[in-house]
Amino acid sequence: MKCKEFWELASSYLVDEECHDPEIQGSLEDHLKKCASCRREFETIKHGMRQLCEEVGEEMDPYFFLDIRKQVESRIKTPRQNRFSFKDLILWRPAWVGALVAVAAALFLVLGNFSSKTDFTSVEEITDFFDQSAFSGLYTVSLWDGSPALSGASNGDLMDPDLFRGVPESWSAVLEQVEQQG
Amino acid sequence: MTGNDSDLIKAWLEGDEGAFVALMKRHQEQVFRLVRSMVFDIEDAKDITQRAFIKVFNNIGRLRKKDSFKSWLFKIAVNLARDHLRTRKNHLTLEAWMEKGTGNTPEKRLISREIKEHIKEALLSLPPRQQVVVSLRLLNGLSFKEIADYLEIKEKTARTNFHFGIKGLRNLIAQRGLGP
Repeated sequence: MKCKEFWELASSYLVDEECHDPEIQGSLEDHLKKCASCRREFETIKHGMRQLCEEVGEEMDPYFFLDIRKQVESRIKTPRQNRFSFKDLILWRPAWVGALVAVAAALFLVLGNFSSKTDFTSVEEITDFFDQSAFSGLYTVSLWDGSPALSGASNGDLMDPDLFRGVPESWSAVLEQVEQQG
Repeated sequence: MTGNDSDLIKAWLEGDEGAFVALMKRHQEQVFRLVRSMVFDIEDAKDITQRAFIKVFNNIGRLRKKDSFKSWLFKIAVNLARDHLRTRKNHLTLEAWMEKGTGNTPEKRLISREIKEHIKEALLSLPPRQQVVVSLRLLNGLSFKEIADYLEIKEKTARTNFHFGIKGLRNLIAQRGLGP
């Protein structure tokens, strides 16, 4: 048996110290008797592993495991520190809260204004409406393949269609009217 | 609290928190030893064991077969330990470990405790995928099929990693003159 062959078969021998096949076990033992380097490597690994096995299997203090359970229970019951909390935000970031409130108010005014008007009769009327809104100068209404669309006033880029998702029903009605008028 | 794992999981899902504690009590020692055989450091093993149970607590709804709880728990623990090994900062590379030297010539054979420490260091210097497979096979006596199942890899891959892991250990022993 060559060294390479020995190590291919030695894995179970390292674990069990015996193979299910007595013939193979005999060959492994023969090789170990003849090959000093394999014997040294094998004995070192086996010896070191046995010592390590004893180390990782040593009895731990019962309080050690009690502590593990208590730690788990407290970590389960306590909300995670990094979880987002409005309370923390208000306490530690008043400037952010102010900015958020301002943005929310602006959105409410803008969307509320749009959603209140649904009875457009022409594309021009909608364009005028946009011109008087907070979106004035930012977007223009146009038709794109027969469908209404908002595009950037400066560069003509179409807004991401996903931005239309979740707009109020009345806003959809506005777009439908644009389409009909178109 | 008694009963098999399935009964305890059922009770736990019905709101009995004591059932979860009973599950922890039943399996925590084995989980801890399994993890310790991979990371060796007691505090790291303790922390990973805790994280494994927290993960179990948060994901119990995903366990389809309630009777395979133990295997699922071990799989979680093994993978957390593997992640830990991959991200640890004080990882000593194989080359660095070899350069470090033992200060012993082959003639001055190491005593038993030292061999254990050197084998432990050598194991930790292997690439994590090889170290995990060698530890699970030699320190836990798991079959390659079980290892492949826990790590979600092919059995052949587990065998290959074991083969290269042992080869790495042998090289270290030969180059550093370790031996009983």
